[in-house]
Amino acid sequence: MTEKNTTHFGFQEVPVEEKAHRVADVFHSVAGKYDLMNDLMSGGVHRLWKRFTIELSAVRPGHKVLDIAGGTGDLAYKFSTLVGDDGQVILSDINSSMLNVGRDRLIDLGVNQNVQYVQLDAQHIPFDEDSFDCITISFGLRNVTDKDLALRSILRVLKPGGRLLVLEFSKPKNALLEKVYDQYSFRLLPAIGKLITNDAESYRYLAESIRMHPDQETLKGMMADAGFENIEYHNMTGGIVALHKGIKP
Amino acid sequence: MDQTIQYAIIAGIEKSINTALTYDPATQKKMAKIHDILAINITSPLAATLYIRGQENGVAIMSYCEATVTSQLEGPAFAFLNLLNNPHALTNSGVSLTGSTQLLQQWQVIIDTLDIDWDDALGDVIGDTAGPIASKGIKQYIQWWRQQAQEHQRLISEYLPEELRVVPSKPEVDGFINDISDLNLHVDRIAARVNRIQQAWLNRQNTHTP
Repeated sequence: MTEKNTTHFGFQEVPVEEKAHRVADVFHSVAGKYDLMNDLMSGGVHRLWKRFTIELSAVRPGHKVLDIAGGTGDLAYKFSTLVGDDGQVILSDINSSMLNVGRDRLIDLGVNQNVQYVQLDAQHIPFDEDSFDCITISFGLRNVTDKDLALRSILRVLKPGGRLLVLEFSKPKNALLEKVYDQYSFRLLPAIGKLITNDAESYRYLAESIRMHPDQETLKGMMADAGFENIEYHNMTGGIVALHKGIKP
Repeated sequence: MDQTIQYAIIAGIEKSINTALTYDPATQKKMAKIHDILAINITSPLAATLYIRGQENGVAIMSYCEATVTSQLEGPAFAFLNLLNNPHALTNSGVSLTGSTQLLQQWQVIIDTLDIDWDDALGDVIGDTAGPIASKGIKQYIQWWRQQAQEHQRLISEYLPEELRVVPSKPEVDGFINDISDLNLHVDRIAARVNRIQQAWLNRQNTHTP
């Protein structure tokens, strides 16, 4: 955020109060074909990144889990099988279209015992302090207007010893890979978006927002500033994606 | 190896096993009850640790696990492959076990009683008419191959000692082993006798010392 009270929306500077609406428009537009696009864009690799996120969560029967920006419910579905009947999973998203898609999908999969659905803003999480054993935010943090505020809000509702997992696009570790990735992101990705959802702009925003997101070390520092401890991150696919883990002291 | 490739391999193996297990629902149910973690520590050619436990649809294979490991198997990859063929031959297999043996026994029982309905599985892929015929053909081929392997082993074990005389026959080996065993016993007896004489000599010297 700048002193002029603006923030970035992709490569553009927009008023703070406008970003959430513009991000919402993007996700209203892509919600219906979000899963298909994820598979196409990542070649299905996003499922492997999420698989590792589940392993690192160490969620056990009886745990209470909050999945922020949970979208179409990939993580929430797996968590619901891990926490069992004594546990609870909250699938949340700020965007009603995404949340509806996720809710319909989980109901179709027969998940109705231990999952609840909440439309919420990650910057102001409407739960009591020390409520959750684990919180995940997968490919969502970069869309949040004030990331520091969101991290503090997450810390508040985590139980002491609880963990936050942030799965997000990051900075590739190899210069050649970065160049190939840039070409892919800025040329091919909008073209695929145009073909599948008839919306190239949303996918151009996706590529731009990834570049504007803090790199691995910066995000680690932000988590430390918010009050997390034992922070570590795991680079995946050459650093295209990183999974950060932090523990509430 | 990039972690993503490792996850892809593990996910592929897990998916294949669980797909096959859909054709053996009884085993699937047994696996779902195994919540304890079995760690498999592969030492070569690539070092890797896999964590295995049961889950609702069969088996879960993980590359990372913070839960307490109940049993751990450690050894090279080829030793684990041999162990898959004969899950009861852990001794001298090159695989070492630490932790509880009970969990390992549970998995051994599951592997022993595995009964995948390949007729049904093939039927789903190539149709209900061709499926059972193809399955029967494959089973007959596997049986023939096993018989041939056993026959070759028997012929070689007779040909080498009886025709070529390059290795001794079993009775000769047994006789040789018996001779060594007898010799071992004699040496032990002589050693015990020498010890006794030495002790007696020392005792006698001590009693004569002023």
